[in-house]
Amino acid sequence: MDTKSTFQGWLRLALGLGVALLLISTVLPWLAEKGYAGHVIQENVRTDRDASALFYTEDDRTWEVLKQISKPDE
Amino acid sequence: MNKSSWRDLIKLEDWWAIWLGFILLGTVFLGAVESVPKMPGWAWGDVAALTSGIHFGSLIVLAVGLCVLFGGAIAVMGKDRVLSFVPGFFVIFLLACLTYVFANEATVKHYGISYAFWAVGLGLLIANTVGVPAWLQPAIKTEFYIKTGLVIMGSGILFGNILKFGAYGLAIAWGVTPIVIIFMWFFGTRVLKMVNKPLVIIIATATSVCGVSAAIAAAAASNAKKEDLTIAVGMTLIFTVAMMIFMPILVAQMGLSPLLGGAWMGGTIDATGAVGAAGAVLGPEAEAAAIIVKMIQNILIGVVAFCIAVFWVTRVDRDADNERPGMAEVWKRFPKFILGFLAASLVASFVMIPLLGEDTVSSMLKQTKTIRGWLFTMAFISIGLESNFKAMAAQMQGGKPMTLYLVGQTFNIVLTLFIAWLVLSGVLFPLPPSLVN
Repeated sequence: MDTKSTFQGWLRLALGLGVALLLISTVLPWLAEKGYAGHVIQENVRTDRDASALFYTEDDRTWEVLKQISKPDE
Repeated sequence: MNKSSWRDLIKLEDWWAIWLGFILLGTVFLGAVESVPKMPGWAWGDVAALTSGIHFGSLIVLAVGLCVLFGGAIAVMGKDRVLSFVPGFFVIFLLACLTYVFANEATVKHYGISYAFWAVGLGLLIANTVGVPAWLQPAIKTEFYIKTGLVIMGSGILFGNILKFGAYGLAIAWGVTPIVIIFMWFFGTRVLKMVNKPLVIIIATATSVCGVSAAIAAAAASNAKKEDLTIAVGMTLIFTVAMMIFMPILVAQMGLSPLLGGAWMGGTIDATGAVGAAGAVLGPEAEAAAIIVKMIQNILIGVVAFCIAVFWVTRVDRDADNERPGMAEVWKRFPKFILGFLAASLVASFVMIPLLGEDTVSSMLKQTKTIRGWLFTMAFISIGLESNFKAMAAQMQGGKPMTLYLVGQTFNIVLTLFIAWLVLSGVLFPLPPSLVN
């Protein structure tokens, strides 16, 4: 890579990271607050819910629900 | 086993994925590791929570430990030079830390945008802007990280949990899943005539089982390309967020009961976190039903991966002119790490829980899932680093993967609603008191 394309590469990387930070800091909170992102997201914000778990072992609520269901059998 | 097969135990990456997976599981189950470090949660307005929450010492120990294990395995396998692996490994670990910084921000978590998105995105961004330097290449061990992570994930698949929702959950989660996979396979290969069969099976499995986790397992079982997994994961993550937002609205509009609506969402929304969030909006009953159905579906992942691996070795990878391969050939080509995946599940379900009790094993699984999270994050970063936009555009085959996903997901939604209604409406089967209350 020559100096010019190296510089352009770093510029694009910085731009990409900047867009991600703008999304996190401004766009997503604004969408959630205004209600444009939907009722579920608003509820997640209100209850500080983590909706990002991919697998059931990553989700604390799954363990809580399992425990509640286990209680009548005990 | 002949001599070469015995040598395979220390020369093949698949076997090393099993050994490393069990070593890492052993450190937790035997009590040597009580807490696996992770990156802290934080909010944009409270950056201090991030800086004060990072335990640098623990993270360094974790990075060194993983580097020793993977580097040791690479040294024994003798394919690559360990010294060229080490510097790149620490950079990938550092990128994994950065991934978690993005993924653990509060608003990001509320939207359900998982670490997989940020890891692939970060890798793609680097690869397609500044490029991947040659010294980083030896540490990009995508399959090795994935396979080891999958063996660890196997320990979280507890068969005893299936009994919690009984035959009702089984019918919804397991009745629909194979039908959707088979439907999508035939639709993709026969109707859309997609030539990239691994991509078809990855999308089918991700749609019908549990999204990203299932996509990883299917990709490893079918020996898929990195770009295939990137495309499937990207589509799954986008539609998971969309379905988390719109499915509760649909349930409310249709006037479904919380139990039926929750089970429907549990069977169709791909990721557990999004399932729980969508269910919670409709109330605790819907939330519980959604989570349990999703969990039972999650447990299918090992069986599905095993079936895909067998199907691939015996049917897909076989030349049309050749006879069916013998058992020796099937064994030779079979992805062995899947045996570790299933063994970890069986050991956790039928040895660890009877020995230590469910509560102890549950708390241990919270540590093993953190190790697995690090490995999957490094794998997704590696995938991003190895993918380029041109190759991904070529894999899109004129939008066929998207068509496959949309048609398959629509079929999944309709079929799951029908089966959930059959099982939970009380029309055909009486509901047990534990589900009615």
